[in-house]
Amino acid sequence: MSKFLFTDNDWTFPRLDAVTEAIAVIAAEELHLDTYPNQLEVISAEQMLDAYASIGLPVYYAHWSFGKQRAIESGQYRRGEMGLAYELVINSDPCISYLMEENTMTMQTLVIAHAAFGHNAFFKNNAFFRQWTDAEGIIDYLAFAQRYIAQCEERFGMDAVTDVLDAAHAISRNGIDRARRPRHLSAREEEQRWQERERYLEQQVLEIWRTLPPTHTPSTHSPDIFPSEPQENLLYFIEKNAPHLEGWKREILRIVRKITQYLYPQGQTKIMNEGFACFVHYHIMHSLHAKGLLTDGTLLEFYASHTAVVMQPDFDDRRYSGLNPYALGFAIFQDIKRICVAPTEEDRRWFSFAGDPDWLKHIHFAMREFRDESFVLQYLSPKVMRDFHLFSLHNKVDEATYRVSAIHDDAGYQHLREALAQQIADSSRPPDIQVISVDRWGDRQLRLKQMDQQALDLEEAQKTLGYIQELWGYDVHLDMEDQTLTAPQPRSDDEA
Amino acid sequence: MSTIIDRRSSGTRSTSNQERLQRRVRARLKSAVEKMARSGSIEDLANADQPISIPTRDLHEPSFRRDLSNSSWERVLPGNKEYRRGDEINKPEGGAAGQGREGSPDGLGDDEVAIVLSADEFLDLLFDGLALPNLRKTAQGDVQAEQWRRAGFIKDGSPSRMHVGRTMRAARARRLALRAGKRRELQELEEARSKLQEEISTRIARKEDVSLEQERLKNLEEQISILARKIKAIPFIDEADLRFAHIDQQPHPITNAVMFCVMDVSGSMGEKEKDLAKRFFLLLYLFLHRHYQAVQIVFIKHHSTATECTEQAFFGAREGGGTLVSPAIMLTEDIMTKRFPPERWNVYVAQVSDGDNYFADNTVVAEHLHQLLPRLRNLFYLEVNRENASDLLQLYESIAEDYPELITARASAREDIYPLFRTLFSSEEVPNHV
Repeated sequence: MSKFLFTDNDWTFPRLDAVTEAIAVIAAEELHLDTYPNQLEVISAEQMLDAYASIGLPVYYAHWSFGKQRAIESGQYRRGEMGLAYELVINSDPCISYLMEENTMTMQTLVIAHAAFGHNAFFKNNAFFRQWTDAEGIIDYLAFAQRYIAQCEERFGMDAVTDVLDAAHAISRNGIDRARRPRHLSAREEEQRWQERERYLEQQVLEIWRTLPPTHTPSTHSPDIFPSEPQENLLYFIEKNAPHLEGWKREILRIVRKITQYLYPQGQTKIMNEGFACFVHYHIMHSLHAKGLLTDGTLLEFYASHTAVVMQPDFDDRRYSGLNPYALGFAIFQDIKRICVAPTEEDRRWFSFAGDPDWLKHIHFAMREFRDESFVLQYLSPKVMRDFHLFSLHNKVDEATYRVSAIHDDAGYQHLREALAQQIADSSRPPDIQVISVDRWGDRQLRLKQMDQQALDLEEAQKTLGYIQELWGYDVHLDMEDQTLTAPQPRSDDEA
Repeated sequence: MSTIIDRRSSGTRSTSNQERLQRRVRARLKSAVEKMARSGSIEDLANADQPISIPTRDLHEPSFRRDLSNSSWERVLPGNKEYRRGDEINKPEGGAAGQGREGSPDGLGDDEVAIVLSADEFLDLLFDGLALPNLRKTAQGDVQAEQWRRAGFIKDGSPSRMHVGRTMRAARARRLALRAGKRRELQELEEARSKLQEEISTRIARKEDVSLEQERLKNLEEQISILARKIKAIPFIDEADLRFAHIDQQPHPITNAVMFCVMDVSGSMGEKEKDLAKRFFLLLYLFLHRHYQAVQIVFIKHHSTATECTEQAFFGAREGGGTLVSPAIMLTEDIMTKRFPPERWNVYVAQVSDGDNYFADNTVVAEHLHQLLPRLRNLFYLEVNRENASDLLQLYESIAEDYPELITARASAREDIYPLFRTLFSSEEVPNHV
């Protein structure tokens, strides 16, 4: 009797079970992966579109923008412009992976290896995820958020809630404390916390005080500067300091902020996360085949999808849409292994660990301790740069041409590495806009300042300021290098 | 350790987002729907799920973004073939790849979103704000309207709807129920105490030892005070007592209504005329079906003779021959008298014709109209595709001067039908002539 896990290509639940078990053995014994328990869920294409619309989260509050997202994506999907991902995985404990029902058995095997073991191990071990996210609490927290926002809609009306969410979404990218490590989430604690806050507020309403005539004591406060240091987390600042924001609105800001924070590491580790997952599935599929558990046909089908996933079109190719994180990440992880196992003279010059036979140790170290920016800076090797034919272009606004600033040669390697790391850093960060002052004893206007030099899209910035003003309740200004933007006047006139 | 779950049966969960999206772009959806109704094939519109494109700028989500067209940058690209360091490359005209604004974080560049409306959603938008004019309450009938009605009492609701009487009654019932047992027990204990006190006093009188009885008395007194405390602790009013007046939306039968659809299918009605007529009737049919589940519709087609027919036969009608309008009017009158007596029914007639009628018939028509019109709520007469008003239309117009129930209109192009339909049914007060 053959040992093959399957010979025809239809998936069944017993087969999924058997495959998962076989993969778990390889993941543990050969790759020493430390993972959360797995929860595999088979879903339909429609459900996958749902999951897309809510950034892959299994539970999410309702907002029109998710409906818009779904409308766009289901349109593209129906017109055949976009294939759906074969899987989607959630950083939670247990780790939830969605498998599409359309997948063949080969694809399911690949997807389980990729998501349920590759991504899963990455979520559990990468330092960035460990610091910023709480896999155990997230599902409960999302359920709490959904419940809370639904309650608000009931109490204060759908439109009022939508307005707050719109505003919160507009500045959500500026809702991260980059320098501070966040506290872990607990839905129960959160729920208790806001209930306590509500109770406290209710106690503070003392009817009798309202009957007292207002006293005019001259303000003795000296015009101090508030906040004492610039604040980069706009969402947090407004949540805590907006003069007249109702309690439930603050709570909604908090929810948006917490969820943004949970998602933050994903944007910082795209290349690594996908690269590592590809590295894992590549190893596991070969190992399964080597053990005689997969047929040659299955391996060939796997190659077809694998090469499609890690393909990097050239910059002048019609299909080009930026560096493919799967391709680059996979190449770098494979290269780390190669540098250990079969180092060249060049590798020895570049990497101190070249030639160390324990490649797994270095793979694990890379996976645990870095994020994209530092990962590229540390591990992007000359060989990978040559394989990708990387070059860098420099653009100056007032010049008529681009200049090639470096190519994949000895003189350029270091520059390319740094330029790519910088590019990753820039694209994963929103413009650096911070709160610098609030006129606390005057007209309460809020002053923001752009701390980096890059040009802002003015129209967008103006609209975003409008949202901030809606939350803040008073005038909002944004100081930039050469000008100051002011939020448009609120529409209160025509509403009155 | 792994668990495998089959989630396929749990369905999609996008409805609430969808609903919020449609709410946001309602005005735009409505104008799109109306535009489609003017030009497209109505059958298609009403049968399939309709994707409607909304420009994304209506649904724009702003945030702080960089303007890459206006700043210097350095970028790493794959696939170098011929470049060396220091090479200069001309910038593409008009800012192609790499220029322009930084994309939105979700990576979307499309400028349109397609929103798919279900057939019902589509019709609701299409007929938003329309109603049958002059509908009167006759006898209790089948036409349904929603009405808010009191519907008993519930335990949860908004404070403004709290029912004090009910609440107090529930509170009292609860207090009584919770106290009764304890009261009885208390009474028994108190009786036992007074007995014991008597006994003690008699024993003291007899100079006997009372220490045991004193002990029992102390015990009893303690029990009594505990019970008394318990009774006192029963709250006067409790959350469980709250009662709120409940109101509920209930279908409320108000009126009987019937619509007679009278279409000219004679030889003079060409392709175009028929198309216009059917378009009008189809709108009418969809409108009545969507908004008034219980309105009766009678289909009558006529050339030189008139017949009542089914919906399919009506919309698929292909006939020829000369035209006489009076038989159709007479048939309408006949059916109305037999099946829909006007004292119990709101009767409407919608008639579409190209106005070609045998000249001598016009006087017969006039005679019957004079009899028919007072018994109708409205008669809509639509004349299709004629350069000048026909004799028939002129006749109708002259009659309309005496009878405001008669409303005439003309249409010569597809695009006219829907706006016309909207004016006919948009308000209770319809102009006599459109």
